[in-house]
Amino acid sequence: MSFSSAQKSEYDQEYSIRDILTRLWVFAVAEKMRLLLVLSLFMVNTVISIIVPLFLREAINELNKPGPNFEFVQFLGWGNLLGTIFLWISLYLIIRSEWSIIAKTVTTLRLRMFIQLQAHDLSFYDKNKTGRIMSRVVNDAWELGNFMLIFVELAANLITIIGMIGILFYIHSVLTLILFMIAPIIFTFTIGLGYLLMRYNRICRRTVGSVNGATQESIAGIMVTKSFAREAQNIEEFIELNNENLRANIRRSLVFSTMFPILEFVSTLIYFLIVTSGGGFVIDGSITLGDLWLFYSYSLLLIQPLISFSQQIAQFQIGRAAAERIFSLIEIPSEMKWGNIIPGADVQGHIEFKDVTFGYTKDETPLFSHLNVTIPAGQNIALVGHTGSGKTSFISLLARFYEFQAGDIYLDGYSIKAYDIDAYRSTLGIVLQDPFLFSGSIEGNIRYGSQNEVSAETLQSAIMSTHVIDFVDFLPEGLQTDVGERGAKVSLGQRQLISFARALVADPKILILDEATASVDAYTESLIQDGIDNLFRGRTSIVVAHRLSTIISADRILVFNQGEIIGDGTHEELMKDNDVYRDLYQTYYEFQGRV
Amino acid sequence: MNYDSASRNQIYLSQRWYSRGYKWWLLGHVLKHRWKILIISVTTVIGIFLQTLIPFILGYVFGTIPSGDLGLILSAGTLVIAIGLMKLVTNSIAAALNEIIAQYVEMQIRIEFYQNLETKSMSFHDTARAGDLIQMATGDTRQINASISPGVRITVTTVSTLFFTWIAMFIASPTLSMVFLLTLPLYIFFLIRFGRKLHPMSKRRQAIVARMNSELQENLTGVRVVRTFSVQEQEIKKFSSTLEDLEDILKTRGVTSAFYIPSLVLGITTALIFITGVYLIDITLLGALNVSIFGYSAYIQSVGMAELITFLGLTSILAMPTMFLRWILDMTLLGFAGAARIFNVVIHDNVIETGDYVPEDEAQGHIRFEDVSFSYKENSPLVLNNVSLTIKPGETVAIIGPTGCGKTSLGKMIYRLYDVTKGAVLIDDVDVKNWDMKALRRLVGVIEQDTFLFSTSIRNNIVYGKDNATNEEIMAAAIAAQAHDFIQEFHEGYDTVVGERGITLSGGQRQRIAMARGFLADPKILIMDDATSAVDAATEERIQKAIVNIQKGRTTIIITHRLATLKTASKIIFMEKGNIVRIGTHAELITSFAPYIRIFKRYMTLPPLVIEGN
Repeated sequence: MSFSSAQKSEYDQEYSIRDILTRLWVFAVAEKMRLLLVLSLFMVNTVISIIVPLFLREAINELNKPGPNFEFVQFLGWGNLLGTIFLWISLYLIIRSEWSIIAKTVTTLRLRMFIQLQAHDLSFYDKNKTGRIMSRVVNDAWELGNFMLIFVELAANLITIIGMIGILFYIHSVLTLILFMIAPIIFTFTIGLGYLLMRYNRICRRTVGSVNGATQESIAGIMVTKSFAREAQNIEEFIELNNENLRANIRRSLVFSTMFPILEFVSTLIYFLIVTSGGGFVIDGSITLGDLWLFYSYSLLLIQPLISFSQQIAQFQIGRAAAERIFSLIEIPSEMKWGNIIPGADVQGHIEFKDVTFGYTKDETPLFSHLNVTIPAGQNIALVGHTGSGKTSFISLLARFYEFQAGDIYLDGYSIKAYDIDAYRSTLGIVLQDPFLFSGSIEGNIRYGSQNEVSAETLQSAIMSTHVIDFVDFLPEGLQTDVGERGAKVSLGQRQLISFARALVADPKILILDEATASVDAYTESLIQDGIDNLFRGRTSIVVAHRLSTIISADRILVFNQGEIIGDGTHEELMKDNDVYRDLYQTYYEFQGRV
Repeated sequence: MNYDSASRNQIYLSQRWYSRGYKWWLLGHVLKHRWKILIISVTTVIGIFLQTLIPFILGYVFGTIPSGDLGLILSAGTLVIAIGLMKLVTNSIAAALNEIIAQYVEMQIRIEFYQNLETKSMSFHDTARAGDLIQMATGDTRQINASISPGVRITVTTVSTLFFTWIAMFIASPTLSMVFLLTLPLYIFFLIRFGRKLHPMSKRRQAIVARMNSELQENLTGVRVVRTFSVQEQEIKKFSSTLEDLEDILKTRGVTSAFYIPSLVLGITTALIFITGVYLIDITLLGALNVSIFGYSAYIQSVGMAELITFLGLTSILAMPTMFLRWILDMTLLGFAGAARIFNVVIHDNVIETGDYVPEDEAQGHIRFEDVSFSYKENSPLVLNNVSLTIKPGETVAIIGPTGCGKTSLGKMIYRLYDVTKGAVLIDDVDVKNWDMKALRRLVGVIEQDTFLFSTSIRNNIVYGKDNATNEEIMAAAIAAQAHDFIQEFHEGYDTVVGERGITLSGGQRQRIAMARGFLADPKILIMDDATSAVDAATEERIQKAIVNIQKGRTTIIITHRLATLKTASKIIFMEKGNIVRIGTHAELITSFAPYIRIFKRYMTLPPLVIEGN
């Protein structure tokens, strides 16, 4: 799946390098033993890799003498072998601990973000698209995990570079200077190439984004495609998108593919310099043959750290951007406030809205201003009104999906902000119009909401009263049928029934139904209606409905109009003195009532 | 498994590449570019040949330096630079061509896969996980690219480097080359071990990453439910256990890859060669000799300083391919895994065969079901059971019945989203299986309850079924679907982008746009599957009126439980458990059919409407 990682979100903050480092420091401290280990191993490794070629240098020098001491040379050869083995061991330990550090840090970062995400109210999710959040949790955490080691590797590379150049300089300063005229070439080259690659990368990411998007949509919308016989056209469009992506990719890879040949050429240049100027210096006696060998092997060993050094500079930018995005996400405060009252089994379900003011965004005129209403425990309330009049928002506030700006809502006399948010929500049973199921079995979905073990009887009575049983019996795998991603394998009506059952097994004190059976077929709906009084008994229930029968049987009806409650009473009362209600009823009746 | 089928419409590969498994199929895609591969091979081999020359020059220089001839050294240097430049050219050509091949193969495979998905039947899409398919089209194709991109060249490079280097070694010093040969098995052993151990770990790692992604996505998209039930703790526990699994596999994989570093085997080889070399210089100081090893007499050639240097230089040439070899092994294994997954989808035919009947005149829209039975899978219960039914042109038929009674499946039979298990569905007396698929789907329009809109502008969503629609037509369709008013209220009107990349619409709004999409296509047969369930009553009433206008001359099948719709239908079909139990008009059913009465009895007891003035 592709996520465009680079996009900004509105909660993004700017962090100075210092801010980032102090935050990273916390993670570094958590891993300090391993980091120190890696650092010291790197030192050992660097020193050994500097020393190993020195053995061969001495050996060659010795061999070149008129009467070489073969025993000494052999000894140096064994030293060389031993050094290589040590190199192996230290490298093994380094890579091993590096992976540990990366794995641990990435896990911690991801978990921290995930936990923070669980605390946000829904307005956060309204504003931030899933893909963008996922990209932070998945990709940026990975980048930052790798970033942790950049300092260690940078230090090791620096030591290698300085150490080797120092020794060479000590042996012969002029030849060193000649050889290391190449270093700036490597440097500018890798940085320039890196810049170019980054630019092309952006185009590639964009084009591959559209390819991925098209794939995703085609698969999700395959039914529509087939219904309209659009396959051929889709394929054509898809090929077009792919061609664009291909062009961008090829351009990038052409840049990329010259990189290694050019670096190889740089190493040939080094050969050239060693052969010509180095050879000259050997002849005039300023260096020995062994020294020349050392120059040769060091310069080969130096190419790698020089390249990574310039790459790490680019890496630093990437890591910094990732860090900014991650810390922005972790540190954005949740708008939700909550206390610590735990509602016990004796919750009554008495609800009171007092001067509640609420708008989805702070800048717009609020939807509710000074909304007041009291719902006594055990009452059955119907909410009516046109689309956009505030019924669903009313429920969302009660469910604590959003934080309101002023006033307060009370449950049994305490502000709902004073309750522990989880405990508070578990007193509510909410069935939404657009039901969401998780992939897994029907039974797993019904049991989803309950903290406690659901007994077989409770489960049975929930699927009976919501008539889930009627279609489950018909499925070959019964309650164990997999509902697919987002419940896609069962119909919308079935999804509503399952989510209704899910709310019931938790035995909530307050039942909130937002057009919970709108897509359920008429037959099943009529069956549910027959038993609905049973479901409402002993509960405060708030129902948003278009069905007249539901509305009329309610204890009390609240009429919403543009964020205000303009009618409050029974059907008879409202018919008498409420124009909006009478209009609504008339439409409904024309439509549903004239049998 | 039946690999041979004419229905698979590959645009790139001929049939024979499909018959021997995914590796051949992948090879087939790569071999599409055989000319490029040939050029890569030639240039690479030239490059490697040139490269093996350099250590000889180096050895020569080290050998001649004591003689002090600066002129020779300078010409050797010039030779090195010349070789370097030629190598630059050959290697760049090879690398660029290789990249191009990889990009093309990635695209070919992705398009083949996409094309295959588009033509696959719905029963395939019902059982496939969308996330999986997306992963194949995006992640797996990239993996294939990554394994091919340096793969072709590096395979050539490695093989020819080993070959040339060894020949060169033999020329430089036959005796020392034997020492090298002895370390070769160790080297190969390491590579094979590495590949074997890493492969399952890589697969597991991919699997856990996929699990993490889907858990995260579900948590984020299902945020309302998670909040509603306060199961954050539970969700955190689940996610953190997945993260722990991932951490474990990352660490284990890290340990494995840390241990197998073949370039260090090479370092050890170099050290061993040096030790042996020195020993040989020592014992052959006075010239060649014969030594006896385990009783066999072996001829040992004399070894000098120059040979030793040449040899060490040659060993260091191997460093690069060795380093790459390990990496390539890792990449190739991942690429193979991806190729296998895609191939498994592509190779299985779940394609509905199209017929070739295209009506000469305008179709009538006469529908007949003849003893139709249907089940979604073999051996699963029948969703439709011996259904026979005739719908005349221009009729409006409503279908009603409890969940799972087969009413939606009945509609799907007509436009062949699924094929009947038994019996036949005929339109204008021609079996739908004989209809040209495109003509059939143009004839039948469907508006579904569970609407899907594409993440593009509202306009593009509406014209989905009819590309050349004029603005007036679009607007007329939107007005009929009662969508025009709310669309106008958006800042960008019809060009407002909806979905994941744009604004979020309510369920009712989505349904109304989907309806406009269906109306615009203007099909002869219109199937509406509970298409107004999320629309409020007043709006629906207006839509109903519009439909009545649209319906003229059109066969309409409406799956609904809305009373007002049922009343306008020319006949109502009552279904239960895959059977049609009753057909009649509303007036007939409401007076004489108990299950139907039962649905609406509640409405019969509604307080009568008091209209002012009465």
